[in-house]
Amino acid sequence: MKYLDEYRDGEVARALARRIAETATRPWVLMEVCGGQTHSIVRYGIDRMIPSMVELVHGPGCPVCVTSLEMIDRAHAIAARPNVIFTSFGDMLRVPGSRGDLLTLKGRGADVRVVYSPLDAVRIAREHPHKQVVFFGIGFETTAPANAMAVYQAKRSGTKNFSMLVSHVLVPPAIAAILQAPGNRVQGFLGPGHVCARAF
Amino acid sequence: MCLGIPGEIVELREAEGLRVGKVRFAGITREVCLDYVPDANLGDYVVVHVGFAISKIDAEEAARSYRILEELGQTSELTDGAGPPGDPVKPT
Repeated sequence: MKYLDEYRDGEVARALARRIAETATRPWVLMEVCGGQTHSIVRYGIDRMIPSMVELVHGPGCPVCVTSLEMIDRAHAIAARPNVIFTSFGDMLRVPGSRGDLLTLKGRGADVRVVYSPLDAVRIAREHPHKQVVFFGIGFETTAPANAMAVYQAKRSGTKNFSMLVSHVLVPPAIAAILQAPGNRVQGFLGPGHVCARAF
Repeated sequence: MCLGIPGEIVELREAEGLRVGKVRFAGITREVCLDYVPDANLGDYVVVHVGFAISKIDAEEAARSYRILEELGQTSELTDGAGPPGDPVKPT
């Protein structure tokens, strides 16, 4: 498919790895910021393709992994309430809180629903005016505008039974904290592309 | 949820004050909010994240990047036999 196949050409990837090997003259420690990058690097063995003097360190990861236990517990407590439809991106359902995960809670009868877009949660709220529909608003800079649009749309359409449990995090302060940490070895970052599309 | 996936805009319309449309990815077509890419039109490619197009793919930029990759691919013959990938190549 256009814009996918061209960038998945193994021959091109091997040529790039060779070019990196030619260019690297001293050890480098680079951190990939995003969990999606880590996934691709490990899945396709990119860490083994590039010269050993270039060390890749896994970074802060995705907002799913960095959501605090306290926030998961709050989600759990809200989702367990009888008059609530709790909506979330699918990735959050298996993240364990101190009283289990949301998927288990759903198995016990709580109305927990997976949505693709935060706007789907607003639609569910409109379809169920007698329920409180809560969306688990997690994400980095990339997702914040989508979640904000859901709030804006709910207000604009007078949907009063929609609310959001907000747990957004910013990438640049995390990067600054890593660089300022005593004993930091990271010399460069592989920027998260989709966050950059939004934030920088 | 972290993924941004490129797709082609195949339908455009207004719904409840929002610019929405259908975007075709490899194999599937989904309803997408296009409010954040006001300059994107039918037939354009956009990166979609959690149901929102977050940026237009600049066809020229994409083609230019790809040409560079291709050039690297073509020049790869020059380094053939210079050792397996993963080992630094000594400058000659």
